[in-house]
Amino acid sequence: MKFRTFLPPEPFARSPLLVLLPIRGKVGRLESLASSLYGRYEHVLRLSREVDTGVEQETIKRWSAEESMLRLVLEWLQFEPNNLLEAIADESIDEEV
Amino acid sequence: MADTGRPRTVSEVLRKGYTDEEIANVYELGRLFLEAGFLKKGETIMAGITAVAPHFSPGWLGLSYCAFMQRATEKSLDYAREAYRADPGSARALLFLVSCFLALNDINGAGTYLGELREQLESGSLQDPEVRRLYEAHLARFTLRGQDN
Repeated sequence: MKFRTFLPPEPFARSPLLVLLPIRGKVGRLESLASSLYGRYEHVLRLSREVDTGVEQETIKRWSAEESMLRLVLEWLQFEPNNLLEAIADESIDEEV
Repeated sequence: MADTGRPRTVSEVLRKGYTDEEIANVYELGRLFLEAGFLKKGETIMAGITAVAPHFSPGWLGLSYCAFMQRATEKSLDYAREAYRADPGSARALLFLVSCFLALNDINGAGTYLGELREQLESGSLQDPEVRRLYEAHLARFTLRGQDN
């Protein structure tokens, strides 16, 4: 019978701070939330495209952080956020015309 | 017209539409990225989480971790403080604070938060073995640094 002579280091030994990040949800559940997250992405995208000069810099920064987060989540869920970007750009061109 | 109370802050407006389940599961994806070593992706998720839900302490801890790994210790300390503000008394946030203070060689700062952790451990309110383990490791570092100074 063969015995393993090498045991990989436990997660705590590799990065104790990472182990401290609590587990709060399940990634597998994101799929069922995809449509609401997509809707949220669409909303924040419109907000940031229709931004006027009166909006605070801090607000724009937060929209941008939210947009980047949702884009990453949707990409991970294999949506195509770029299609939405193009669609919104086309819409604004139509409006200008 | 009915009194609507205080005006909503930007973060509250932004959070509108996000359920606790959405926040927890998106955060989990960020944690997964960090666990897999994708620091930038994890940071993007954590930054978004803290923008839409600043009350969610684990999001700040995630940002603190990212900054710490990029050796931006002052920034990491600020995020750990935000985590502690969002969840006062959180042992995990306290450990992040101690880690930052030790990395910055601020023995007094580390000692203050280690004392708070010791109180929690002695009162028996903390059962988490990983928290205890890191506390003991930090206590050893703190003691050694104290002898050096």
